[in-house]
Order: sequence, then structure tokens, then C-alpha cells
Amino acid sequence: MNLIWILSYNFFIISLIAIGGVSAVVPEIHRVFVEHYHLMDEQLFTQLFAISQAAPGPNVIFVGLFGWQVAGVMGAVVSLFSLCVPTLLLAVMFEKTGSQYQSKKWYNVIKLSLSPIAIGLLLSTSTLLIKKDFNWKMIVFISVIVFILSKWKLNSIYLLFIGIIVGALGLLN
Amino acid sequence: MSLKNYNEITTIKLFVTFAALGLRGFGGVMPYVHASLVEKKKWLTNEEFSELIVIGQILPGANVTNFAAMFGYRKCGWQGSLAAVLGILIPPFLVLLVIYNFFKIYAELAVIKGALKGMLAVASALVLVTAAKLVLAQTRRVVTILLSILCVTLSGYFKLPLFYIILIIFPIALLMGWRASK
Repeated sequence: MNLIWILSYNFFIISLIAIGGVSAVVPEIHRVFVEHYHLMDEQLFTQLFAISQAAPGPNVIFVGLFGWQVAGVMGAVVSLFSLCVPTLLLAVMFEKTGSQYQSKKWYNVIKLSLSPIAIGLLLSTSTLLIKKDFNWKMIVFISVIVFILSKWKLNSIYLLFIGIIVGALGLLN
Repeated sequence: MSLKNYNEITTIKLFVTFAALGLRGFGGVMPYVHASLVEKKKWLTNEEFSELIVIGQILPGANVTNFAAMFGYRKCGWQGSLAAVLGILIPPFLVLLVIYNFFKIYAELAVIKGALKGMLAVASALVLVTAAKLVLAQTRRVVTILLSILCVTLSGYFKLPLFYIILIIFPIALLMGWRASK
């Protein structure tokens, strides 16, 4: 089957069930494209995600990079388009008819009900990212980062710099 | 040009504004969105901002692009929606391509391999903290944590497609949320 078709069809489906943002659907993207279609190996997949954290802008650009790696410019355009457009249409429809949905109570019930899924998926993403390089030094380093973030409100780009330096020095091998 | 015209929101202004937001937004765009649209430009009130955020979170997909689409539509219709979304996506993506090509050229160096490992650890920690923040925002943490554990088991261990995971967990969570809200 044609790569462009595989990308557009699957990202379209994922876009409709993408609860909790792009970071939360990383396991699903991995399941479909790495485990099912074998479009790339696991290490490259997680590395693309890590690299996309180093760029500014919304996390969704990771999907563009993924498409780029698989099928070049067209892959990037089609992947981003398929992941964004269906929910954008929903968003605009919501905006058009928004006045009917003013009941704050239902917003909150739905939002709270989606939370366990988002939380579970995020945990899944977090473990998926380090599965290949799993060792005790990684655990210690991650714990330190989590500790820092719980104490101080720090922009993640500084933490990524720390990560790059610590990793480049070979302290995590 | 009168002051009114100067303050008028056009599709070009939307594109430029969201492009600037995207490029500044290291580690999450949303704080910059609030600072720019609500505090500086006063294109939105605080209430309008929170309302758009909540809808953006309920809808599937990326929160920020949903927000951009709704805001653009509210101000300039379809063209506005398109301008805002393209603005927030394209410039950051071009920056990402530059970073990616740098890593690709030096991919075989031990230093770069190590650096990627460090980035993965930080990315993993960031995602973990996002999850922790969501847990802390809950009023009924025990139920949420139990359902999250179920979700992570179904996703990580049983490798169940996301669609089925939602089908299993969402109704339970909705039922419990609805009962608690009564």
C-alpha cells in the first residue's frame, strides 16, 4: 500500500480519538506505524519525538517530522493535515454553535471523565520513550528532573539543555 | 488611518501573531498565548480565553491548534482559522527541520547519541510531570488513579488499540463523574 495513503488514513483516525493532546497519543502512533506497519524502528521513533521537544511551537509538529522521515515533504504535509484538519473542523463547528453549550457543569464532567485516559496514556508515553535506554542512571536523572520541575517553574528548554549536556558527557550510558 | 482600523484584526495579522507565538513557545505555547492575546493585544477577555481553552481540551487533537482554529474563526471566519493554524504550525516546523537535519548529519557520533539519550530522559520526565499535574487537578483522585492504571495497562501491556481503550474507560469515568456531580 502507498505510504502517503497509510499516513493520511491512520493519522485521520488517530486525530478523532486523540484525547489529551499529541503527547498522549504517542503510544497509539507507535502501535500503528512502528509495530503494525514497521515504518521505522523504535529507537528512531522515540528520537524523533525527543528532537521535536527541542523546537519551539506546539507538540503536534512531531507528527510532521514523523511524516517527513517516512515520505519526505508530502509525508509531512499529509500527516500534519490529517491529524489537524478533522478536529479543526470540529472545533470550528463548536465555535459556530458554541452558545448552545454554555453549561459549565457538562464541560467539567466530560473533561474530568477524559482525564484518566489522558493520564494513563501520558504514563504510557513516558515509559515508551525510555524503554530502549532503560538503566538506573536514567531513572535517577529522570527523578532529578521531575524533582526540579515540582520545586521550580522552569522553562523546559533549559532542562533539555541539561539533558543534552548530561547525555553528551556519557553520564547516562 | 483611524485608531479603529489600526486595531482591526485581519487574516495577515492573525498569521503573523500566531507565527510569533509558535516560534516563542518553547515548552508549551499556551502561556504565551494568554500573555499576547489577552494581556497585550486585548483581543480576548479572560473569560473568553478560558472558555476556548476548555473546549480545546475536550475536543480531540492538539489543544493549541484547536484554540487557534476557534479564535481565528471567531475573528475572521474560515480564512482567519486557516491563517492562525498555519501560522502556529509552519514556522516552528521549519525550525524543527533544521534541528533534525543537524542531528541526522552527526547521528553516528557518540556525543550525539548520548545527547539524544539525555533529551529522551528529559522528554519522558516532562510527559510524566504533565500527567502528575492532571492528577493533582482532580477532585476524586483515587478513582482517577485507578482508571489511569487500567488505561496504562491496556495500552502498554495489552497493546490494545486506543479506540477500544476509550470505549472501555470513558463510559465508566463518565458514569462515576455524573453520579458524583449530582
